[in-house]
Amino acid sequence: MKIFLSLALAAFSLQAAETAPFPVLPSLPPAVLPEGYTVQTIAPPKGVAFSVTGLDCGADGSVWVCTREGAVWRLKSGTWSLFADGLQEPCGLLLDRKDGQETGAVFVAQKPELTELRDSDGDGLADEHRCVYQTVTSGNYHEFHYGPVRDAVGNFYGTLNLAHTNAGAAFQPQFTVHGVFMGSFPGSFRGTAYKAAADGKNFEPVAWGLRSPCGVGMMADGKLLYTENQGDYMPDSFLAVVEKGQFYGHPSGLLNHPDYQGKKLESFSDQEWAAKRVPPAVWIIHDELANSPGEPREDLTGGKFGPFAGQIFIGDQTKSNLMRCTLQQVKGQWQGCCIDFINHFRSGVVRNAFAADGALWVGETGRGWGSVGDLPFGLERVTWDGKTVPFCIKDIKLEKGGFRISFTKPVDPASLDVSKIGVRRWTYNFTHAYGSPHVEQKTVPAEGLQIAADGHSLFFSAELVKRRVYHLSLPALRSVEGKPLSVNHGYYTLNETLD
Amino acid sequence: MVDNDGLHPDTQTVRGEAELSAGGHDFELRYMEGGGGKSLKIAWSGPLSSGWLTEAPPVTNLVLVSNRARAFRGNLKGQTSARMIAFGLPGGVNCAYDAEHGSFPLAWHGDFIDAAGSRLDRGQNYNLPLGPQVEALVAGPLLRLSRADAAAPEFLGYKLAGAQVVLHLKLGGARCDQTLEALPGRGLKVRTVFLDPVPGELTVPEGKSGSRKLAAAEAADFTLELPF
Repeated sequence: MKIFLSLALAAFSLQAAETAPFPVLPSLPPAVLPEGYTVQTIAPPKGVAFSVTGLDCGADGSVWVCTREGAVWRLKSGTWSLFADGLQEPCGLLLDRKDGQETGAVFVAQKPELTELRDSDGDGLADEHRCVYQTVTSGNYHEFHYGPVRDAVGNFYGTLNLAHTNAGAAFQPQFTVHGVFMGSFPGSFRGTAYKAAADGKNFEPVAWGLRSPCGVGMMADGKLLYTENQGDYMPDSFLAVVEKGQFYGHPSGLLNHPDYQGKKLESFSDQEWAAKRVPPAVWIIHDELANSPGEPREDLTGGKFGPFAGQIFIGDQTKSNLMRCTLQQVKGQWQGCCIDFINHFRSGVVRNAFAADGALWVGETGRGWGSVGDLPFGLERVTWDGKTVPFCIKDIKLEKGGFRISFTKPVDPASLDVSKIGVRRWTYNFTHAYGSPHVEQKTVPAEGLQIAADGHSLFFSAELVKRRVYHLSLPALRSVEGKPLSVNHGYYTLNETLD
Repeated sequence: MVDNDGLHPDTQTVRGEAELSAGGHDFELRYMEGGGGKSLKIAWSGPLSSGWLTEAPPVTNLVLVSNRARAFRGNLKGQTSARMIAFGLPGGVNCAYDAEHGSFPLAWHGDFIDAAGSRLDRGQNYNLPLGPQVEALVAGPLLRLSRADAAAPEFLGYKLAGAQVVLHLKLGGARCDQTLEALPGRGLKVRTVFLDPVPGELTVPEGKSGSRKLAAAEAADFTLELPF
């Protein structure tokens, strides 16, 4: 009797799995996928281009998507339904929440404004489109509007892309400050991160010098994050903590900065601009890690997504991968690490959002710039099985004189000696050129390896130089079960050292 | 067939032509990569394509109207600012509102929008009103105060209300709703209702290019028929 019962239960749970609430396409598992993780490719609505540029998850399990083609779609109980269309290339979507409860309204970042969409007559379609605030645009195709994110009191934050010079005569930016491609227009606040009050009033730039800030994030503790794409004045891509009034590198958007009124921005040298810029927290290495990073999203699942709670997940549009970053503040400067995590998805990853069940939804598009993968756009869902701990570098932190690398599982001390640790470091040229090669790149020896008694971390010292990126690799390392790391290397941006 | 060898930006394009028989054809593409951003683009065109194609066209980029009003935002050929909102009403009556200047610089009968300009490649091109003839609905702003320093109405949003569209505007500090209703084959009916006291005498269009004064007392709720 007992046996019969358990068999019946097993049959029931199998059936439940077969009627999973998401329409899926045949899967194509990524080459780099940590143990215990599964990627499902979600079938988009039929017959539409579906370049996902905004993503949020509702408390009821629904998933909301905005597309670059101008639509807002909702996936609920396995069925797609259209909520709005005709929007101007929205590059961000956020469900409205008051005291943690969804109100039913949806915010989308259209090129010329932030818009609140509401279904006032209950027919399932947004009929009311309310302009919350304007974001001045010239019509130049590259003037993307990313966001919004909100702080604890409901203020909105977003970022405004510079205009592109390869846009046809009607939309030529008036001002490029020696930039190869990116410029701006008077009165536009292009190249800024901005803030606006919950009622849409008091729109103001809060940080300057942004170029292609495709990702905006707000951490639970109120830190505003943004990701930058390598390009003119940007030697490499990066993740930055946005601090009020700071300059992040590209002068084209300073046209409307109060301190530069009446000044000729072209008269400043590359060295002068370089001296004004705040160092980014985490460099994201071109070709090695990512070329066009997107949304930074903090893992607030409390462990439902695996052993990386509190870390920042960032996707890349070019390489279609997903990375993990952590931050560390040293002498007032933000710095931290970046480690590849899943590589690669079916199309370019620009957005990601956690659902209440701990799954990470990944929004993808390769249109216009190209991306790795077999699909032109996509939506994928990453889940952790809740039990299998993959063998990964969990984190890299600076300690006095060296680095501490921690792991998700205990390591086999016999698999590693200090001669098998690779340490490479470099810096960049800070000029108006498009990207920078690695400068002063050299391999330095690791010394004084100490593996913690519990096997969960190790420390080694190395010659530490400020304002360098360090690449740390551990190809020889094995877990106590003899397994290699899922990704055996990581990057640490060292802005400041500990005394 | 096409030789675009050497180091150059992706804005340098080269064309070639070949006569092909009906059916599938293979082609070979060789490329090299130097410094800078990576980019490789190929586009093709044939006797039946309306322009250069860069991807297989599995979906239409035509935005068409059936029984309810639609909106479309994006760069439009003939636009007067970068804040254009096109409205397509059932019955083949279409117009585009310039939210910057409060005007309707484009109006047309027929199908609504070809959105390929926004939806292909990087979206650098104009989207096209599909009417055979596109004209201004009225010259200048539709709603304005007579006083000399009057500014264009502030755009607050719009409502897609079944077959109609309601523009939410603010003029001289006063909120008003402007309802657009199709007059199929003839033009557009626009009813303006102020939700706050009318802020002063208005100047409204009369005929194609004329105008007349409308006293504040008459302006609280008034309707214009605008033929095109």
